[in-house]
Amino acid sequence: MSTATSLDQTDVAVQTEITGGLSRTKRLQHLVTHGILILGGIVVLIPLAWMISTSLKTPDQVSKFPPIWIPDPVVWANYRSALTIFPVPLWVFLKNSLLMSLGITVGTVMSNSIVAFAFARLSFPGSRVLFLIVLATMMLPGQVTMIPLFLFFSKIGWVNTYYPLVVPAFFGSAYFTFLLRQYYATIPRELDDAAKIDGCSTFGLFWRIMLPMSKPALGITAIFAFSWAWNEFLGPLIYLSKLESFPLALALSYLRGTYRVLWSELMVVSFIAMLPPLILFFVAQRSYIQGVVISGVKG
Amino acid sequence: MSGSMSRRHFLRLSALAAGGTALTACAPQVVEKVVTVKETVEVEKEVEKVVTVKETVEVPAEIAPAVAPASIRLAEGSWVGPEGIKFWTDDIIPRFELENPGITVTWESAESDDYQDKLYAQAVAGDAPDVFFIWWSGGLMEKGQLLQLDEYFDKEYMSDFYPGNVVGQVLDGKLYGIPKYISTVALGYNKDILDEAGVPYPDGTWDVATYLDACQKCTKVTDGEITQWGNYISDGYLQHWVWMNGGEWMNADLFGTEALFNEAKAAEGLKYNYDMIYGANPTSAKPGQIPDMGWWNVFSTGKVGLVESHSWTVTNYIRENNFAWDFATLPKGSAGQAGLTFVNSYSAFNGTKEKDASVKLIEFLTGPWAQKAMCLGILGLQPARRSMRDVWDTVSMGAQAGKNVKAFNDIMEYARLTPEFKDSQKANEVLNPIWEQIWVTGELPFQEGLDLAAERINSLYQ
Amino acid sequence: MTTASAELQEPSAATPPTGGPRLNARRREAITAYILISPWIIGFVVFIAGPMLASLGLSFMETDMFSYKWVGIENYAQLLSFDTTRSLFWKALFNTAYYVALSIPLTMIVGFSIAMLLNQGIRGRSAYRMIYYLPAVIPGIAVSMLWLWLFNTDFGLINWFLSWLGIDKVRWLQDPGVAKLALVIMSIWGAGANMLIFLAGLQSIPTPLYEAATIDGAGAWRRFRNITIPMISPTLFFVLITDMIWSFQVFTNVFVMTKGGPANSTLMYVLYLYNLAFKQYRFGFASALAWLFFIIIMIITLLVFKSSNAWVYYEAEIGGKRS
Repeated sequence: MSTATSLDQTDVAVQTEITGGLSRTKRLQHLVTHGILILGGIVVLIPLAWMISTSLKTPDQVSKFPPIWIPDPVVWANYRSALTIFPVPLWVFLKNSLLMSLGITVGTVMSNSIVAFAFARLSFPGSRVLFLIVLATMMLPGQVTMIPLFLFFSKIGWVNTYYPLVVPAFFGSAYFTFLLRQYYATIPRELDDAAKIDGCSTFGLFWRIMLPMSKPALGITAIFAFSWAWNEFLGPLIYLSKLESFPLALALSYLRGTYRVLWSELMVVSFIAMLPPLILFFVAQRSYIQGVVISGVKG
Repeated sequence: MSGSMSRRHFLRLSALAAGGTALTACAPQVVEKVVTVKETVEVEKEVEKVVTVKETVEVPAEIAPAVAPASIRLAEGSWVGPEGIKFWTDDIIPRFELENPGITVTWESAESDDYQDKLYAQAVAGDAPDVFFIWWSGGLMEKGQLLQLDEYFDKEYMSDFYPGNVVGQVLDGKLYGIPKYISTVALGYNKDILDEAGVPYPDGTWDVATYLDACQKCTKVTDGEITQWGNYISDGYLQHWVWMNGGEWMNADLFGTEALFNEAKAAEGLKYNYDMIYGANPTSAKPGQIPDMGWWNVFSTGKVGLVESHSWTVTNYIRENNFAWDFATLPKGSAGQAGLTFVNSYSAFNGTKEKDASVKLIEFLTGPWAQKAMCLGILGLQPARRSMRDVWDTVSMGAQAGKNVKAFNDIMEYARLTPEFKDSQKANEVLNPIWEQIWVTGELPFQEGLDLAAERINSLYQ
Repeated sequence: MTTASAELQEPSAATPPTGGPRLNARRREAITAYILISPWIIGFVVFIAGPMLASLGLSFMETDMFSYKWVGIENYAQLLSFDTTRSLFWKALFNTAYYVALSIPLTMIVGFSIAMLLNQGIRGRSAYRMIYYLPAVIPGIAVSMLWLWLFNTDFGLINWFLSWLGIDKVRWLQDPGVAKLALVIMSIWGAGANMLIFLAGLQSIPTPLYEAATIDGAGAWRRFRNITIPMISPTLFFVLITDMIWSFQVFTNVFVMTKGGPANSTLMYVLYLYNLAFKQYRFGFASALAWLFFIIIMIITLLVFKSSNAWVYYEAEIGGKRS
């Protein structure tokens, strides 16, 4: 660690840094850093490798100690049998998850882009107080509202539907309002003024200037909203009771409750469940990280 | 491998049944009634009450008019993996739909851990399945969420079911469910372990002392750690130990309002078990400390000598156990033999829009054909109908594997229903945390815990 | 800089108020603004403020969804009772606090250390960053399943590693003494999420500050102590607050992995809440528990905010500009 290097060493290091070359000590230091980082990386990745390894084993090999790393034989059939491990085919859950996540994503992007715009660009009495409330609700643990909402939704017959999970997304959420407002704030105000002089209405300003300018932030909002919705567990757990309407995350927990724990198949389904957010992360890595940095929100 | 065997087994059964399509719910029973069952007088009375209500209504199920087209939902499960689900969706439901043209049934899973909790929420939201399988329906029954069934099922229909199980479907003299299967507890034993310990197999003559001794002998301690348990105790069902010792659990068979389990004889029966967990020489692990394993698969690990286990575990054990094992009746207590049976049923949701179709489905599921299928197939359930006792004893998967499954029916002769207090949900709210502290966490001393539980429960009904 | 330093600006500061038609325009703008934020206002009333009040009301009632009965403060009295046969509030609170108190410092230290290492301008930084962040992307339920398997007593990977060190099989999720620790270990695996935020914070520290200090003869430790720590403290503060609120709500992993067992040793606050509300349908009792939760989180957040005066340095105080 850099902090652990002794005084004179660093002095040399800094000196060489200034002159441009990499001294031996600096190189050594980097080597050590790489060593630590690679070791840490392995610690992070091993469980995932273990997951994939388990997913390809026979039940016999799953219960071996010391564990076997390379499955022999490689049982690709686990992936096929996992598709039918539930009474309903796996794709039904995938479809449910996808529809729910897309619904939530659309709602989140639509509502928050508008609300955040008003907070970022328009002046109105009480804007400060209202935005403080937005910030405060960011800290609010959802458990406080969980029970009355459940009673309310069950009164209006929304239990066992996706409405309680999707509809609230259309009414803004503190995190994303905040994230988008922060981003809008970075767009130069001169653009607004120019647009206004050109006779642009407030809506035109939003639609023709702000939205196109903030595509990256909207992308981040969409990616986060989608991943979070995909990972959502407590909501579906409370509101859904028919297996065939479960999203994948909930269906996965159901596998645990059945009579035997089929580790291979469990790992297959877990692996499948983590793929969409993972792929999204790999594809949009740059925006993802940017989003984390803007809002400080964790994935 | 064994899974495919059971599958074949079931296919054979389906083929048989397809041959004799006449085997409908109301057809004459195939199996001869072998044994008449002793019933206690109180139980008989309860059934009589059901029947008197019935007799005023003149609609025998058999000649009810054909049911109009309807689409209903059935919540069920088999708890034996994906194969078991197909039992319902590919075999049972199609068969019902064939016999009842116009009615379509959608299957919903009842297998998740929180199925019964969600059933409650669904009922409140008016969205419960039309027909569902349920273990103890007390909560829903008391809250008026179940369809009253008296007008659909007459005395004759009900007479074939063990009265002990029918009692659990009745509240204030009204019938709310039809038993699905018998779930009785018998004594399972690992022959390999008993052989090694030099313990003769239980043969129905054991008393408590023999049992305790066998548990001690089967327990193996290596380096101060127990590596093989003599037995495994589930804190969830101990009532029969109270009864076999001459005590009572509460002041009624069902819906009691006073706890008696802390009184001397009752407490003594429980204490045997308590000492096997917390005594000087423990023979049983603490219950509930193995989330991956319930008592039903602890036995399959082969590290437990004796285990009290339900009839439905037999088929599981046939699939899972790679050691020699069998079942016997429970040891005799100072007051003789006692047995415990659990209520379970098919009920219909009070808010169903398809009453007739739902009743038809219940009738089908509790009829001889479906009962036989559930007994012989992958599920391996002990039939709720007395007339089908022989099917379980002689041709069920367990019987064919040479296991003494008859023990379960023998116990059923004197078994009593698991007692539930009046306003069961409230009583359990009070009882469960205390019970857990006695048996699972060991925070409460034995007698003090029992007294506290009794005191709290009794104060509910004053 | 991250959000911690975000300030509330009156967006209209640029348009000076004048009379006549301007006022009209202002009013029009305000009306437009209210229309635009109306989804959020409706959402706030219907999904947050309303339910919160309802929850408060429910907390003074006894209800099983079929009937409602006013019981005053009885729910709170029972909850706060130390008698564990009547309430597991203290137990759940203790378990949760234990988890939070261990998991947060550890994940912050680990995350911060990785960020420091990555901030040295080493090659392949984005690859490392990606790998370390990976666990944060995976659905909690899949993570739980995975760790359930890793912690498996007989065949799990963790016990295998321990066997190298000559340590006997640990019954991670079955032993009340270590189950909470298992959850903490699991949380460290996800420390990469903090790393990313810390790294952003570290990168926003202007290099001239370090250069000047080096010229002044400050060593690595002094630079770390006097520049890095103060400059990063707003980020630390932000991560601390969000992590805390987040960790207090730990649910999915205990729900899936232990169900709160063994012997209630992993009964976390939200799991207890869930059990009361959605397994026992004691909505009144559970609402009281939810409100206590809200109050506890508020108090802790306020305490952290208060303490921040002592250890969080904003740019202005160390000579930076404050906009």
